[in-house]
Amino acid sequence: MSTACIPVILSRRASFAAGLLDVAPILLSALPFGIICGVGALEAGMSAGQALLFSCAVFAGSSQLIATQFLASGAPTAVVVLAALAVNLRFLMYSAAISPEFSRRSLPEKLGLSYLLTDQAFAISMRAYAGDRSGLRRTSYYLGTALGLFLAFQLGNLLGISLGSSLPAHWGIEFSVPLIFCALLTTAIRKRSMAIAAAVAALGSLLLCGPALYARRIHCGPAGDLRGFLSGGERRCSLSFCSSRP
Amino acid sequence: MQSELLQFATVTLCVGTGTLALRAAFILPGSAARLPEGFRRALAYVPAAVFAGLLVASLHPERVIHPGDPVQLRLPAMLLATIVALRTKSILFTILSGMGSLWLLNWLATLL
Repeated sequence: MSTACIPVILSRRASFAAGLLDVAPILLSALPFGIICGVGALEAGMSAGQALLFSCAVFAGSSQLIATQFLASGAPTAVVVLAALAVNLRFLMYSAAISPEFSRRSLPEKLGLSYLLTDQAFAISMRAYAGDRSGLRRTSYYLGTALGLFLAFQLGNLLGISLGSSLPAHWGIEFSVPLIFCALLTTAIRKRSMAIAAAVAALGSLLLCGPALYARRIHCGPAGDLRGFLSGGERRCSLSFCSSRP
Repeated sequence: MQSELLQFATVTLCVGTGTLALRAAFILPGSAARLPEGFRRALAYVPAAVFAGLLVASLHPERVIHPGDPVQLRLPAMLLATIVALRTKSILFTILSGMGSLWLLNWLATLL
């Protein structure tokens, strides 16, 4: 009997390291995303402590960015919460797909693993599970990817919070917001039907916000734009994320 | 001030627990829980639709057409970043190309 047929089971540490190694290239993008989220939270009127607490409580960059933009535009609390949660609905899908891998874990462990679930950790782990990497300890591998992302993102947040007020306005850091959404959109479109769904959503958004954005020149974020458009009046932001930076 | 603090606390609590609930929805009950196939298929379209809507909403004239710029440099920077995003599907390269080209164009404009 050949030993080549026996799969080598990696140790927990080696599996964790393999996850960390696989996620390393992505950490480079988690860092600036974290910085922008940190800056956005400050610009939405949060204190440094609040911004850090908010980032640790939510740990989902795109929804943090949306929440802070809506907060900056003076949107009602319910709108902020619903908008931030809407973008996180995709976690339901990830949770359903990855749940069999963690079925033997205890309840506190499952909660911790759930908290760390992100787009990138899910994508990398599922690719490794589906590939010919049978020797991996799956939870340890996932932890390597997810913890790496968590640390890089929160480090970015800390940098954004510390640098936030000192960033020169002419750097145009607010321009990175559409850039991030553009990058996220291109990664989310995986087939033609998704591109159609994206086009319909973009058209809907343009019809709802467009007249306010481009004709009446109201610059108060999605909620502000919509409310301003519906009320028919000019409205300026009380907080500065969307309008005060040139 | 107090109402802002209350709003922050409510948003943090609701978005934090709501997001955790979405993440844990199927992990906590284990493999016994299953998402209906139709719902799962529909959920796959959520990120693309949401990000497209947000992208359009985030394209404020002040973000993309900057009144202070001597020439409108943000539009070509955005176009270049879009091409990079489509080619690489990388957040890092998209930010680097968009911000990098904006800063480069701004610097070139100051030389003119």
